[in-house]
Amino acid sequence: MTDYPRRLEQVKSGLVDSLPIVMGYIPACITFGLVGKTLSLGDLEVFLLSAVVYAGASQFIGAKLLAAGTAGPIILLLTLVINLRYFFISMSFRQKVNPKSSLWSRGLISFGLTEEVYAMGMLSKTNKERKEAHTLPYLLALELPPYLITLISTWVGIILAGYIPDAYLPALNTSLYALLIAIIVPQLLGNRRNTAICLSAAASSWLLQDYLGNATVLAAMFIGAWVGTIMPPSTGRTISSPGSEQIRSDVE
Amino acid sequence: MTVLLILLMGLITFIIRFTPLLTIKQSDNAAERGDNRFLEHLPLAVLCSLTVPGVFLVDQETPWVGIAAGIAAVLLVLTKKVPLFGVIVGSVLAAVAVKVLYIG
Repeated sequence: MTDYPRRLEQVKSGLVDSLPIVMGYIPACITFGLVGKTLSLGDLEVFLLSAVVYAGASQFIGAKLLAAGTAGPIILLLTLVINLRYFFISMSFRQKVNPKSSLWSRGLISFGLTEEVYAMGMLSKTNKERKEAHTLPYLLALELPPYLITLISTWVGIILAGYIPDAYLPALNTSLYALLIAIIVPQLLGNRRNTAICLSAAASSWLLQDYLGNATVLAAMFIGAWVGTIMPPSTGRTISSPGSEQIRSDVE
Repeated sequence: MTVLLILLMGLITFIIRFTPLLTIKQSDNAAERGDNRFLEHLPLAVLCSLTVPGVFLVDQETPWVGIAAGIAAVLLVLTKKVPLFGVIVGSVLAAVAVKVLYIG
C-alpha cells in the first residue's frame, strides 16, 4: 500500500476511469453556466451551485427555483428530496470504501460521489471484477478531474453566455447518456435478472415522471432494485452470448 | 442571501452523501458481505432510471437527437470492439449530425 510505484499505478487507473466522465461533464457544465445566466442569476451564484452543490440535474432545478424567487425553506426541502438518492448511492458505494480510511478522506470521497463516479466505481470493466475496496489514491484520481472540469466548464459557460448559439448544446449533452448506456448494456447481455431490473427501473422512471417530478429517480431506483430481489438469478439456460458467462459469474 | 441559500443547499447535499460513509464496517465490503441483494441491484437501477427518460428529453425541441445518440451508443457497445471513449464520441457525433439535419 505504501510503496510509491503501486500508488502511482492506482492513480493512473483512477485517471483513466475518470476520462469518460470528464468528457461528459464538459458540455453539461457549459450548458449549466449558460442556463444559469439566462435565468438571470449572478455569476457567483451560478458558479457556487456547481462548486458547492455539485449534483448534476438538481443544480438545474436549484437554479430555476432560485431565479423564480422561491422561498428558502422550500428550496432546501426540495434539495433534500431530489438529492436523497445520493444517500442510497453512497450506502451502496460503502462496500468500495476502505473501512480503515480516515473520516477526512471519506468526506472528500462522499463530496465527489456523483452518479457517474458511482457508476464507474461500481460497474466499469475493471471494477466489476474487483471485490475488494478501492484505494484512496484510485478514488481521488477518479473524483478530482470530474470536479475540476465542472468548475472550469461552468465558468466557461458563464463567460460564453450570450456569445454562442445554444441550439447544439443538447446534442453535446448526449455524451452523459452515452456514458451511462455504455456501462449499462454489457450488464444486460445474457442476464435476465439485470434486464428485468433495467426495464422496470426505466419504465417506472418514464411512467412516474408526470406524477413525481423531481423525485422520480428515487422511486424508480427502488422499484428496479426491488424487482432484482424477487427475480431468480439467471441460470445457464438463458440466452447465451459471447462473454455472458463471465458477466453472470460476476453478478451472482 | 441567495449565496447563503446555495451554501445551505450544498451542506444538505453533502450531509446526504456523507452520512452513509460515517460508519463503515468490515462486513460492508463485498468480499465478506452476505446477501444484501437490494443494494447489489441498486447501481443498475439508478443508471437505468437516469437514462430513461433522460435520453429522450435531452433535446426537447428535437427528440430525435437523443434517440439517435442512444441508438448509436447501444450499437457501438454491442460491437464489443469500440472502447468507452469511442462509444461516447460516436454517440455525440450521431446526435450532432441529426441536429445539423434538422436545423438545415
